[in-house]
Amino acid sequence: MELLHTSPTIEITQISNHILYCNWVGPQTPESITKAGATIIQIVREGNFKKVLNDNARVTGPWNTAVPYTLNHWFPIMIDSGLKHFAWVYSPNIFADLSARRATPTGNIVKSFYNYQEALSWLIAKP
Amino acid sequence: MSTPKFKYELQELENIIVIDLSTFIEDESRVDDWLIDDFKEALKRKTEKIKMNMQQSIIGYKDDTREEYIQYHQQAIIRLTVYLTTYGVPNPAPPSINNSGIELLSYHILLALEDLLSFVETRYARYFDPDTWLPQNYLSLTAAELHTELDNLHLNLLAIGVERDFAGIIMQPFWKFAVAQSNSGGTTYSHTSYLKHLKLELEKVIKNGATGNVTKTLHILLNGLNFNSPEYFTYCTKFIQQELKKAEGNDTDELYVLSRFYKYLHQVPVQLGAVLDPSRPALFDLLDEWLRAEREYIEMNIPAAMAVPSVQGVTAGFKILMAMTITQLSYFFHVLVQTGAILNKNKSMLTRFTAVIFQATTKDKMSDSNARKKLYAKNDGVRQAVRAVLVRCIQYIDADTGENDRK
Repeated sequence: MELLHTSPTIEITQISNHILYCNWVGPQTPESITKAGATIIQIVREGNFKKVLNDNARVTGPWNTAVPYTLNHWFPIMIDSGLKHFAWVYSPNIFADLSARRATPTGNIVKSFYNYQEALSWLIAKP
Repeated sequence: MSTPKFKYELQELENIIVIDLSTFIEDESRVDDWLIDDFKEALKRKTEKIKMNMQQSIIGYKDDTREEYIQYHQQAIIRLTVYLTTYGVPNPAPPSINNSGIELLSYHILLALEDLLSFVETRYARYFDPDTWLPQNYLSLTAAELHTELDNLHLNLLAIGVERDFAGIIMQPFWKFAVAQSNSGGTTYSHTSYLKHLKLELEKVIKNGATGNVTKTLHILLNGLNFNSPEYFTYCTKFIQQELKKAEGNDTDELYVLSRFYKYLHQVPVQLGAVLDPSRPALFDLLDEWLRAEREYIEMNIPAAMAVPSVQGVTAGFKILMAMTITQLSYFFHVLVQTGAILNKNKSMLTRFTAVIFQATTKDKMSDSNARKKLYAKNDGVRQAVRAVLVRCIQYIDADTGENDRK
């Protein structure tokens, strides 16, 4: 595992050649999300990552104000950048969970989980 | 402390209240309209899941564990409701989404907890402990909930035409509850639940206030809810006395008035287990006893020689003497009407005619108040006496039939 980026709200690590691990921590603001979102896009593009494990297990509180950005702006750019599979571990915090549910796009690229291991297994099984 | 022998079903809800709401405040988070809508939906899903889990879990427990399981969850719901006050007393009316929205979140959690408590109470009434004493915080919350628009409730009762005294009697338990909470506190779940239910039912009456007889509707409601305050009992008896006064001077009319109220009383179904003050007798019993005593008093004073309809060849003042008391005679005719032996439809006329034509006997011991009380306390004495007369009639017919056969 190689640490690629760290900030008070996110740690980004490379798990394998194709899997990027984004571990979000604590309360999130629209600024922290857009800033970290831009970093992820850049890393995905540069490293040609096809799979992302997006872990919200340690996120606390709602981030509803950043939902439109995530759903309508960030995900389309990620897909344009080569994203094929996105495993999203939702937070046990109800407010973070509800925000994530709202920001989850329809289709087959994103799948939600409540467990890191299950999410990783799903990603590994994908071609 | 021993570990419970059962599953705790409220963990997810507890996490929301104890952890998520706390973090929400620490993080200085805010919500908006759609998040509130989603939150409501999520709470609904979670409470439905809890209900389903409880229904499934309880099947696997033995009876004594079931009781423990239900009362443990009953207490847990109350404890979580109290915990909500950590974030400020939740507003019992839907607050607006100003500031962070914490008030609105607490409000929806409060509704979810009430829904669960009501589910446990109604679904598992056998195991539910209605006499559980409630913590002061819970009572403050309930008091706040009951106080919401309490003044409006009073004004609205007056506005739909409820007499001032009557409205005051209805409102009295709510006011008493408020005073009790500001002083020593201490009341049971069943009492707070009763008041909440009464308030809801009164609001329904107010909503439909423009249609029908409001006073009659309220009496039916209060009788059905066993509203057994001394003030209401006195109000009812005064009301009946006023009606009796209109019929004063005519015993049969007075009996008719009493019969009418007796009929009303017996035709209103009383909600099982409902009682305003469990330390007092049920309203039904109080009124039933009062009506019986009043009826007996009038019956005892009916003059023996009432005017008899003129019939050719019959001596004036002639009456058929019956070996029954007036009550037994009334019941005897009631049986004949109910079984179709008497076809007259006008019961009022029939009652008057019976009183004029038949002379009932009044045994000496009937004047003894103890014996009277015993006889009227329940209808069994009357029923048994009438039954004995009818059995004697049948025995006579049977014997007569046997005699004829032998001839």
